[in-house]
Amino acid sequence: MNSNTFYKQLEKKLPYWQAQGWLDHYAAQEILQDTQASIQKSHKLSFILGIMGVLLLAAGAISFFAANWQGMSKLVKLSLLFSSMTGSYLISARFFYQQRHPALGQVFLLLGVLLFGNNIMLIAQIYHIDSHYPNGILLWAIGALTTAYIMRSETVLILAILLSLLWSSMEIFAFRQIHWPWIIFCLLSVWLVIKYHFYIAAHVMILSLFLWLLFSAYSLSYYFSGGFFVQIYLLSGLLIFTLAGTLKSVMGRSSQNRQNWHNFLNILSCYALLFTVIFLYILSFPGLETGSYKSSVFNEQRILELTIPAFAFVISGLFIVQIRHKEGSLALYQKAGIVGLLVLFSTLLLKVFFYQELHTISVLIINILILSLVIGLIAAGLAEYKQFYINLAFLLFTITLFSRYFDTFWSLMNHSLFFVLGGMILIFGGYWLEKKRRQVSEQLVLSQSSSSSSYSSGKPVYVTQLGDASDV
Amino acid sequence: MSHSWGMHLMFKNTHSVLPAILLVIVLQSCLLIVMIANRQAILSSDSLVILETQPIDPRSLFRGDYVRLNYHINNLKLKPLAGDKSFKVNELIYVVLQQKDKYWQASAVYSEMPDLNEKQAIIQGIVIQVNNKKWDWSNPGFIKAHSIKVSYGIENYFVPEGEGLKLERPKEGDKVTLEIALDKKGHAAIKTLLLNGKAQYQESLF
Repeated sequence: MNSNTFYKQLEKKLPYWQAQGWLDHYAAQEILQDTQASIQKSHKLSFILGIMGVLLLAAGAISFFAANWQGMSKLVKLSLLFSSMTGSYLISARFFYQQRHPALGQVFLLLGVLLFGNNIMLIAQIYHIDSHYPNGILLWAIGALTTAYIMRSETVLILAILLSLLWSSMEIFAFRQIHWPWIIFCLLSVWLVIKYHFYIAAHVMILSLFLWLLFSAYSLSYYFSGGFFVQIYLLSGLLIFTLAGTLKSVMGRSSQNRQNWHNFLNILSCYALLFTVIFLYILSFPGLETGSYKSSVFNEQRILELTIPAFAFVISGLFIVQIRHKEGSLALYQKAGIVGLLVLFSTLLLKVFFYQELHTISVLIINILILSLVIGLIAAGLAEYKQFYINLAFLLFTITLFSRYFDTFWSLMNHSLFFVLGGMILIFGGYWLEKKRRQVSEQLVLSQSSSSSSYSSGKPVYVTQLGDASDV
Repeated sequence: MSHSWGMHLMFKNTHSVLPAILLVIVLQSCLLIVMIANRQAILSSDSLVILETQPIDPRSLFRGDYVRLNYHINNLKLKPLAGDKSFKVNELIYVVLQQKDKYWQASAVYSEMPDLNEKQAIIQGIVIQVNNKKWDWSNPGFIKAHSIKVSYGIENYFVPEGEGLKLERPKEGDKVTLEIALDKKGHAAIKTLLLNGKAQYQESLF
């Protein structure tokens, strides 16, 4: 029997079985979810193969047009372009309508959007349109976003997000400017992600946001040093992390829409934390040039003197709002987190104002902060059931330890001894750390399962690798 | 959040699928038709000018299937021209063209659309570079210069594969010129590509 038909029959029969008292509501939901999961698994392979097929088809279409281009009149060319795109969309509609192969429906929908982009490029070629070239990608991205909205398609939304990032990176790298219009596209995509409850697109969207932030540095790289960007990115990551946390506590999860927001903000805060940790780690290296770069346009020192207090002010304000909305008193790790934050702001400010004198001390403080963060993340992970925090803590600890070993002993030891010792530390230390990480993770799962058994709705809870404990 | 790998359609009623997909087709087709109609409108304009091109670095003249065209009016020295004298990069400008002998040349440049007489035509462009000084090779050092580099959106011309060589490296004495169609706002489109005054490629409506 077709899996979809089986699922539909189950859906019809389960209420009757429940009424007969053969199973309860929870068991019925479990059966439905299990059946749906196996349907999705069977569709996954056809979906992946379909995506690969679509890419080949799109490449084939482009090659066909390229090979036969000169032999065709304009009218034939245009008819071919429009009919291929329309045909692809109509086939996708047929698959969706029949409901038998929704994955293939998505694949043909994706092919339609790819052909739409192909058509933009080829029409530009037919009519020798030579405008600002990223505009072609913008038009394509707009078409994809509209399709994602109308068809409620996550696959197409992912394509739209990637296209918008391509458009923005073209503007940044080719025209060397901070490309603010991308933010509009970003907000529209976030709205769709939350409205339609898309999970993978949420990850792609948030990753794009951080990539865009990194790309934007290129447009200002003439004027600022690497150390400047490290500090600004560290504070930006922290700001996004705090903002996500504050929005979560202010909004609550009273409705489905707010729950969607909550899930999205969870993913955002995880990526923001990762982003912050990466730049905190970079800042822990001695010899990073900061605050001394002067160009004719900007004085880096002056800008840092203004931006660091501004970031500190906004982040602190957001934390205060978050604390006010919190029920009960702060846990010890949260209080320690606030102290750590104050130490970080003070160190950055001292670094700016007394750069030469306090450089070594600031590096030392950053390293101590990293070790404190490791402990804080493990405590937070256990208290908030977040596996991601625990994994991040162990990863941060490992790379920091290894980096400091390199920094400290490279010049002090004989090189062969250095490598032998380094290898041994890596093997045994890695084994020990992984063992500890597993112990902590098991502890987390145990405490979580005891918590979920008393969960009011009776629904099971799972922890995502990069997200929060979410309702299934 | 949904974990279906984006495979499923989220319509509650499958009858909504067809109208939705038709809406997508109509919207995307409209976008493409606007692109085409916009070009067709310029190409069907009666205002035609012939512009000269300059030989440019042959390494970058022909890339793949298109010819990179460098018009005389791409580089404007502001001193001999009437109109405004100060421009910024990415600024939209209007270049007044006047016929001298066979070809049309820039006579003035403005930030705003100017009034024209019957013998003039207007072409819209975007400033891509402003040069306030240049290197003097005869007496090494920077000297004052006031010129701008402008893009008109007619700098690329797609030609059949393998046929660009004669345009890429014109023989001694060969001259590549372009007949350009202009609409009232100064938007430009290439109508004919000429080699020594003879049409090599001509754009038809369909």
